[in-house]
Amino acid sequence: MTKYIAGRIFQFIPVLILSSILIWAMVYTLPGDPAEVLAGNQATTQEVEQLRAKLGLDQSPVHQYVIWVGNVLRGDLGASYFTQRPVFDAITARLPATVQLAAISIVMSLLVAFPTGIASALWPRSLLGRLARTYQTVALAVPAFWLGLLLILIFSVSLRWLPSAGDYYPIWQNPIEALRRALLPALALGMAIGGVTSRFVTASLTETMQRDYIRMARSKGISETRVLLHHGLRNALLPVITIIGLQLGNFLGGAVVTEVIFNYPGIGRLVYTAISGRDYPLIQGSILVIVASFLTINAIVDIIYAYIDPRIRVRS
Amino acid sequence: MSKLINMPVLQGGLSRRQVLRNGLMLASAAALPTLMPSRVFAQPVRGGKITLATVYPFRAFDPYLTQLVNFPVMQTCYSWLLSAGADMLPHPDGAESWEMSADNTSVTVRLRPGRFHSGKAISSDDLIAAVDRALDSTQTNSLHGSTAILVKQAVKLDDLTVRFDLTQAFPESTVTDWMIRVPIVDAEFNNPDALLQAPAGSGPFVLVDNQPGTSMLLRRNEHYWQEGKPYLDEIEYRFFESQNAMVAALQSGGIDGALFVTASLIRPLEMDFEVIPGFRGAQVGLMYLQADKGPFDNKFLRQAMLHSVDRERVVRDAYFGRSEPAHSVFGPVSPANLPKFADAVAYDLDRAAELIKRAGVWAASVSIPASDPARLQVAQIMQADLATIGFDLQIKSADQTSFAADYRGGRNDATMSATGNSLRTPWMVTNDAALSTGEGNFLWGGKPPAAWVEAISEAQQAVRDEVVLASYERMNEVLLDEAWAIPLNVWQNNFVVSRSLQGMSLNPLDMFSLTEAYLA
Repeated sequence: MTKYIAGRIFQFIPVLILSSILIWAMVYTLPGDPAEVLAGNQATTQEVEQLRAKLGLDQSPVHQYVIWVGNVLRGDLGASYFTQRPVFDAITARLPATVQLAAISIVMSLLVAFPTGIASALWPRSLLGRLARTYQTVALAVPAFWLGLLLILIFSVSLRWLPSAGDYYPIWQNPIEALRRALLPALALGMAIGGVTSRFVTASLTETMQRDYIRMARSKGISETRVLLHHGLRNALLPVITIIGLQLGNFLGGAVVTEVIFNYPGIGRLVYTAISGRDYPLIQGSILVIVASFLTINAIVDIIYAYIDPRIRVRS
Repeated sequence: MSKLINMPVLQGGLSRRQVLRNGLMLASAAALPTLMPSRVFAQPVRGGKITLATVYPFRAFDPYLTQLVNFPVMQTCYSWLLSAGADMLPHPDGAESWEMSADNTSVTVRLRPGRFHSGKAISSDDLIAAVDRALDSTQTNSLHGSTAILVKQAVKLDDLTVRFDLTQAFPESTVTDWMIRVPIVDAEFNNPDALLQAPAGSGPFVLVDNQPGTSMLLRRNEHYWQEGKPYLDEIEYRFFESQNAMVAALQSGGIDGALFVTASLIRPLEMDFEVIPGFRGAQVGLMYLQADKGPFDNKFLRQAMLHSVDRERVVRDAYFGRSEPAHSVFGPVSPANLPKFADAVAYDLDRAAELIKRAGVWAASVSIPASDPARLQVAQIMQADLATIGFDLQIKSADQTSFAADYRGGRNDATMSATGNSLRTPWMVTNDAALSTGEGNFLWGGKPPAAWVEAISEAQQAVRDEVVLASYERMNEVLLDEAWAIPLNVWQNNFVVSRSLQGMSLNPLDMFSLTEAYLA
């Protein structure tokens, strides 16, 4: 198992290098210039040029990349052009908010996805099964941002039950306020991805429940609940774990639109602001951290996968 | 104390119509101080915290960068040499008094004894450093242009008295207009790098916490020079990415006020909130034409654009009535806004067609930032009108940053922007690079028309009233003849606040002040 984990971590390196080059290339193909933004509309061309030189933007992109990589290897992600604060600090200030929102969203999505997925798989013709399938269809069809706007209009503007701006409160410091503030964005995100997860649960469980070993378990007189929990769900879980891992990775990458709609101070909004202002160090640093987080979560999913299914680690 | 403020256009040598018009303008201006903080219903109450929001990404605590994005700290963290009331007249602020020399070639300023937020005493050295920085062309600052024209040097007379030697004789109104823009900054921190991190002022509020991109907390300055003010204990600014999200937060009670709300969102808020309009004419919306290259290097085509804007419709459809038609580059309260030139920009498609025919050019494009639906609609109105006379106006949309780069780089045929010129010195419109007389004028490839350079030079040198008025006329004539800045509408910022928040006021630059704000 240790060898397997070490192998997975070793695979990070080439992916991170390739990602950094891609990020760099993408950032430099964006039209616009941070020096222009920083100098403002009334600055003269000479002032803009001075600012460009000060930020090092007058160097060639390759030169800037080499300097940036050198700094990153020394643990320095650079400083934001606009605030002059270290990029690392900006990311670490926003990351906990995103992790918390992702965790609450995932929990919410699972709370809906498993009952609906199971109902749809086991009792497809019942009213419950039909309702579950309706939820799956609606959740897949409705974008998270639209649902977010709807939730704001109903629960914030009309009923005034919950705040529309989802400030971050650490859940371990003030759990009630943290949940109150994160509820609407988490619902918007959770409901949307819950539909995907629910579909996977349905598909996987439907297939599993038709397997010979399930028929054998039933013929041995084992209760239906035990068949479902011990034989059905456990085996149906593998693809579901994969999809949950991917969703979590996406969340850590920042649910950009949802964070913007709810003004949630997460990493997605940070990236959005950085891209809007062409804050190159902040864009590069944030996306690098997002890629690393995504890879880490994928590795964790693979490890959990191997733990649940011994055949995987044996093959590896 | 100062002499009476010069109001050159009101003295001698004017027509009866001119005197009446200016009299009306003055009467309106005199009424404004009572109108602007009109929501003061009760005795101010001390204490309390308010939360205000804006969608503009705050950039720096540097009072030399007077961009809209930095307005949250301008009148809160800083004092200025003088403040401008809604009457456009100067009032003592950081300067206790000022005295012009008899020949108008110098002004002596007496600073008010006081302390910066850091506790350090304010002295003449800080003011001299402030002016030296404004004179330094190597540091980005929006004060450099006018300072370089006006001020030769700053001389320390004693610890609290400074004399500014001017480059020539200027009317007092010009000098005070400049002094309104001079901030009082601790000399030790008066540089762009230091002021990126934290303010170094002596204003009514002190910065307590700044979470870049998210929030900022200010607390009452207990040592502010106006005794008993400010009334509020704390102000929190929240930064939003979306106007809709900001308005939803206002409607749900999450914030007490929204700054710079787009006109299309105002109507549903009027029932439950107080809508405070910005200063009338703080900015004028303009269509800028790239005059150094085709297609707008053709003067007839540029002049055709003057007659192609249905300004009434622009105000009604694009700005939902929260604006007014602009007939001049100069705002409605500017002394250079002369009614006799209004007809010269009248909406007249026949006249436009005639000029386009003379130009022999039948297509052009206009670039609009995608984040500005109102300007996009203005462009669409023009596009539809011009199509009826066979002219193809294409609309290009780009995100704000790309737009800014193309704008300055002179890579557009035409763009839409706004210029601020609400004070009493019209030639200060040249602070806007697009209207400047120097190499920075990107719309003319660094070579603005000689007639414009001469007109501005005349205006800068004019001291006698009749010469001043003639210079205003000349500026208008050149702007109409060269037609690279097409007036669209008198811009109006909108501030929407909870009815319990009272006493918020705006200066002619639309910098809002919370010194007298309180929760009723």
